[in-house]
Amino acid sequence: MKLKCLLVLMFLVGSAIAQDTLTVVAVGEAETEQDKIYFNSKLKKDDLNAKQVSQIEVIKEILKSDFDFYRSLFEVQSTKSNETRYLVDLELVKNQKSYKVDIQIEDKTEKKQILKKTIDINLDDTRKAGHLISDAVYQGITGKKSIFLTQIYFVSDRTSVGKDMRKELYVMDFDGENKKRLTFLNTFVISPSLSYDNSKIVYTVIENKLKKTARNDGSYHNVKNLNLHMMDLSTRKSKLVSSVDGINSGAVFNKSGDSLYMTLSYQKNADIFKMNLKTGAKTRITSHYSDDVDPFINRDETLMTFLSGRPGKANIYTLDPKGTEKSVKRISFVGDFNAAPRFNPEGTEIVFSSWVENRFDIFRIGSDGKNLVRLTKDFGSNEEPWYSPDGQFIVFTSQRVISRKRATQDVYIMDRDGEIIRKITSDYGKIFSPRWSNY
Amino acid sequence: MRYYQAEDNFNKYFIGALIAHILVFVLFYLMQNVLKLNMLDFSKPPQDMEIIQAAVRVDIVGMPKDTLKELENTKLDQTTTEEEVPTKAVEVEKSDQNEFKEKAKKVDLNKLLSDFSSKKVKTKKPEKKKINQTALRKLVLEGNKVSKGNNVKGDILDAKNQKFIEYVQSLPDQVRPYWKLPSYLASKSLQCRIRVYISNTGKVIRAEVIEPSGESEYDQKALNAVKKASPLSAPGSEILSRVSSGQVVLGFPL
Repeated sequence: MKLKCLLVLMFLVGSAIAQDTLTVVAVGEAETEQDKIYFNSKLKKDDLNAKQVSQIEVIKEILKSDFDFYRSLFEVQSTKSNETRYLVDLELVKNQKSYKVDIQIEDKTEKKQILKKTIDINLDDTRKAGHLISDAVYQGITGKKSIFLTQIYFVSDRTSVGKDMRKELYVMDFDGENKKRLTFLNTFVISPSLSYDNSKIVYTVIENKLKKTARNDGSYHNVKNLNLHMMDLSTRKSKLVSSVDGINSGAVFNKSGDSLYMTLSYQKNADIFKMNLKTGAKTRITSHYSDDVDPFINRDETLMTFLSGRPGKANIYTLDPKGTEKSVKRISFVGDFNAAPRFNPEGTEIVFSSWVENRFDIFRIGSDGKNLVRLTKDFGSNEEPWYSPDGQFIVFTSQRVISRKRATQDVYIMDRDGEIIRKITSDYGKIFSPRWSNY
Repeated sequence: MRYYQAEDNFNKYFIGALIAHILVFVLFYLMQNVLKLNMLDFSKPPQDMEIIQAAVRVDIVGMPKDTLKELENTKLDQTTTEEEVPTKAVEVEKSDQNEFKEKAKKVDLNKLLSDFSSKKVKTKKPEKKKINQTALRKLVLEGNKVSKGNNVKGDILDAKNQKFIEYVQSLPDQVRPYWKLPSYLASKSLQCRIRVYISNTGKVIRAEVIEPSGESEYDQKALNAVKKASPLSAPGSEILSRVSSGQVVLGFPL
């Protein structure tokens, strides 16, 4: 009997031990669920005139179009269903002469109201009104800012006359609407860049410069020089910022806006300098005998990425901008020619274009040089990527060759994983250097 | 007599010449490899330039051919298809995608050698085995492999364990289609683990959260994924006791 008990006991212990050997298997990361969203629009009122009714229709279209950008997160439903997660009630309220929109969002899953807000809108500024409502809804749900109120600055050659090529600076809403011309220089504007507070934009202009001739007899001659200008976007007035001999280009602001990081070539080969905007003092950041160009700085100014020819081909590097040639690290090791490295807002990844099979395509890499992924393929020649201020999207130009003499170059937006969201420009000349505004 | 002398001389000179040749060869060998002198091949750069050459070699490696989207799609394809993989080649199959071709070469050599030898190679029937691609899963299954390595001490039956591991490995693919999170939860990087008890038909009899994430909605979504995936594929009778007694834990995501 004792033996039996012992055996039973042993069996129990044994099974308990066996129970302890659990085998864990990973299911993996979850797929992100699209939240279904339904706009219950009570925007139409009886006292609206025909023009206002059509404006309301435009606003409704804008809501749909805006949320389509975040299609990985949301699906806008045309009818309410059991699957609706967010029920958005919109009601137009007349306030003497102006209008307001009451926004109420109910989370059907959590069964609670998550937003109740009233915003002023101007029906005549229809697109802005639509984007304001979209942004309020997006923020109410996610707690984060959207791209709906942002703009994209770009350069277009649409004012060129025959062989007289001209490139001017323009701005448009993030969805390609509402384009405005900013410069009237009748020359070449290149590499614009916006300050973090969106108040200023720097750009480089190809200009003539009087220079002493080599004879050194006091005579002068005209040479082309790449000069850096800065425009105050509230007054649209520009001033010359830097015009030393050679290249003064590829400038980007630091977060505080008191300095620029830029390429200067007055010492023959191009190097990157930091220039204090108040004093004009220049600090050298790179000092390699090969060319270093195209700096881009992260928000807290602890890391700079740039393009360097030091390995023989143009490759992407990072360094600590607090010193000269400090902690230089090579990030890209492949590609025949890499260009335009740009950080995401967090500074954790870099998007760039690279010459592959006779065209440019866009790639993404971690700021530590890991996780290189390709984002575009078989989609024209894609260049000059730039992150949206929320880091979810990348704007870029894509060139399509139509015939020997004709090619189009338009602006596209994709999400950070390479899903093409939309082409946002067409028939607006060849477009270069799209730059997304900041928050 | 003269003839013999001539032969003697010939032998002497022959041996002398042979020794001289060997000496020259040894000398060359020493100069080439021990003294690191480049006597013969002038096309090779001097030794101290090798580092640069190595760096250039990295340059030649191309940019990724496939886009992120394409890679994600192929991953899905591979995880849903079953492939016949002979057990003999399991090691090759497990090898990482990024590993060099050298590994494949080695296998070829082994194969050649085994073909060459007259010994009969034991041939096993090909077994059905799922190919798991996700790095995450690989990571955890590496752990399983390690515990399997203890078998050398004679702990558990090999074949049974193999079956068990194969079954467990097949579960993520069945659960993952139902494993979905709203964005606000997906961005929080939470983790929970669920212990499952599976019947002989593959039905999930019980599922319990043994390591909660701290966010009840997350745990619930994971539980729902398990329940929706039920019935899972039926476990074989030899592993039923282990599977039905709750030895399987699903990690969301790890």
